Amino acid sequence: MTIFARPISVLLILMGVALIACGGAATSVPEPTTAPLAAANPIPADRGKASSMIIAVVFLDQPPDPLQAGWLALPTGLSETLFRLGKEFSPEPWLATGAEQIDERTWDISIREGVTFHNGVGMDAAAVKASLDRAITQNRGMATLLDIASIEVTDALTVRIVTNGASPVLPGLLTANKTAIVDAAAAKAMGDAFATKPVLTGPYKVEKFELDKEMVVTRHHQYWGSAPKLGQIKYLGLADANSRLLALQSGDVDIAVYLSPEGTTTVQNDPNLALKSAAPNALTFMFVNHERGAMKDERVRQAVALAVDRQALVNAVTQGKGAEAIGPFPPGFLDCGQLRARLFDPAKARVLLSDAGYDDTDGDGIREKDGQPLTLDLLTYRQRPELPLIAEAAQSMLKDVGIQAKVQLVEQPVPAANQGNWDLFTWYNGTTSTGDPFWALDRMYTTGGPGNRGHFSSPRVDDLAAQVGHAIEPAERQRLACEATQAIIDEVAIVPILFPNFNYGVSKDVVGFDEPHPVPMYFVDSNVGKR
Amino acid sequence: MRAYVARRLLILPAMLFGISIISFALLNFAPGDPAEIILLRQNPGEPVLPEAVQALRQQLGLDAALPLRYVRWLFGVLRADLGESYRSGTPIRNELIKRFPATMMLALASLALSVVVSIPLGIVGALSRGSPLDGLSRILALLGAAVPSYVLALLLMLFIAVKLNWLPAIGYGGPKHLILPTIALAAGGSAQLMRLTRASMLEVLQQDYMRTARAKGLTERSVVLVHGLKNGLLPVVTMLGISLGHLLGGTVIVETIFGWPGVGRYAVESILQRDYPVVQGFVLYMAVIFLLANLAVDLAYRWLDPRLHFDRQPV
Repeated sequence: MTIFARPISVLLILMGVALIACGGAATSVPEPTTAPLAAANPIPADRGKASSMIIAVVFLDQPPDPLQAGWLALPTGLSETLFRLGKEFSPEPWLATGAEQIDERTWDISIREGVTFHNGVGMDAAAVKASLDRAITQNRGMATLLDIASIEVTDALTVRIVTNGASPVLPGLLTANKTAIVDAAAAKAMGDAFATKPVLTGPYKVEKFELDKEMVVTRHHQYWGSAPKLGQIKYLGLADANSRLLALQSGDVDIAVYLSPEGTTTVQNDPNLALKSAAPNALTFMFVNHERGAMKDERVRQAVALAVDRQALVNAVTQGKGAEAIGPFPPGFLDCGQLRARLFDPAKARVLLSDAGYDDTDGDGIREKDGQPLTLDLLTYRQRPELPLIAEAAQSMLKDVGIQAKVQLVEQPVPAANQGNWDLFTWYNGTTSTGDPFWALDRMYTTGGPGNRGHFSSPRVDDLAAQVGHAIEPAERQRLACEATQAIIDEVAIVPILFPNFNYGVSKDVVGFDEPHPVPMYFVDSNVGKR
Repeated sequence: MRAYVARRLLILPAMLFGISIISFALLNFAPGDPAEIILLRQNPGEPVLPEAVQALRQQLGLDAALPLRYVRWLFGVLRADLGESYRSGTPIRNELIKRFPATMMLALASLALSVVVSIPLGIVGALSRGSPLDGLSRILALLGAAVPSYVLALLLMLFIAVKLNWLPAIGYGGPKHLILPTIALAAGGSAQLMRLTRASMLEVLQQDYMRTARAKGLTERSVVLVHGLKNGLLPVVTMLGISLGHLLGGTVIVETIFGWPGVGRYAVESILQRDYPVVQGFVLYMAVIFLLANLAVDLAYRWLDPRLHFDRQPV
């Protein structure tokens, strides 16, 4: 058994509970509240420029086969999964119409009727089985995540999935973008050509894909949901945030994704543009290296957490487009009532540092202990434009309480984190994947977790996370997850900073994009159109 | 001269071999595991499972020893096969060939703009040294050299595309898409070229043979254009050759900002994601470009200065 078998199996148990919590019977998944309507709306007549749109995205650097770049196929309206996360982050049926748990390892998934692949072939249970088989045989990550023993077609619109371990949360796992349903027969017949022109079920299908340049998609006329409003969408890959903004301002593109913090102000001040800000689903924070010098002392970690003025960072770095983070989960994800938070309190930070034996004996503004100044290596990276700004601001805030932080910008964060020569590391992580807190608790905060880059190790958190994994009752699960969250805050596993909104700049002509989904994976759907 | 060219062409493979070994080794010493970086890109913001990293390393052949990987790559190159990109699975040779015209167009347009603007301004500056025109051309040169291409690119986009709405801010296709990237790319090189032309012409204008030419009764026009320019252009030609090499590979930033689908942008995306085969292919491409550009410069010298002989040592 690999070291991942345990977390995954526990995860499976936990996610089932999440489904229970999201409403309906204990063993079924309710109909969606946000999925497109199945009514066959008439296809709008194409009216010149109003029927086409140009969207500037950050990356077009992998072909849109969901197994290669599910992160591209899903938000561009090409692919769909059996289940999707709702606006409250719980799984809802999408290409499935429901799910029923037969026993602890077996689920019957009902497949939506009338869904047609981009090549005109109908999607049925056999096609779903073939697609999932393709995902788990060709992608090790998916095989590990889903842990499927067998998939059986029980009738034309039902598949029975049996997993190796207990799997009460399978629908949540089937929101993963790589599990998007593809026409596996077409994939086999097309060979390598499938990667750039995958046959999927979404409202738009690929017309042309050119790596790092552009992707042109056209309306899928037989789409099962409401008819796609646009005849064509062209995606341009513009890695530079300023280029995306200027292209939007000049009218060369209709939507620019992932605006820089300063770009949001520019868009707000432009009468021809509008800012669409999605509620946060990811966390910006500082990893703490629990194996390095001063950071082993909980009082020093607490002092660091108290020295950082999060509200000031929300205002200055995200221009108010975000929320202060006191713990690891964004607002609305867990209902924990009042958590005991560590708020901005530099005076208390100074007291804690003195208690820990750090005092400024030579009057240079930096505290020392045994003649050694309290100097921390603070690493950051540029791929998330707000992180270097946060690092610089934190440096100044830490200096105010007598801690010297040396900021260093690294090109590749993961290798730099693995080298371990740092005390603090600004970071950005999704926390709501699969709609369940266990996913983040287990990966980021348990001893040896794959995303636990600061090597935080707490028997209390390990124990609570394990209990969350085994809990069945929704109320009990919620209580334990909240208790684990409180332990993470108390022991300063990380220094939470803020939950940034995901910002889109759109031209005033864009319609059907008023409230972007908090999960950026559901960016374009059939409702997005143009005046 | 033929023997010289043949000799230079024969040395080319040996030099490419050396360059490829060095770049292959350096790439592998760079921090960052390609498998891990690719998985991070595929699942933004999520922790990567070590097991998935290991599986991808095996799939990409990264678990083999470094010398073995190099030999495999080298045999591919000998069959004109640069391998496949880690991130897209597409043949790198095809991608480079597909992107080369866009980069070539931008590089040649920038070079042409540099030549047309900076050589005349350099000559005029030298001839009217100390005049207001000379002062203006020197200020322009200073600005061109001081403003980084990415700043100029963004300023051009802001004023020409956004404020005035004369030209598109981004994109590739028609001639109007070419104008802003060309200016952004040409500015730095033009400034250097202008200063070099001016300095070189000033030196040449003081030479004895110029005085002799005037003494022979030649018109000032032929003194400058025939005797002065041909000698004054020698260092400029060297610079042009090197510039073309830089432009063909160094359009990285301008291509990224303007969304120009060229070789430079392909390379920078590949470097950031540790797409080793692409970077290796790009290094080889750059090496060939530079070696050929240097050869072309040497040959141009022969034409400009018949005193140079390729086949024997200078006396």
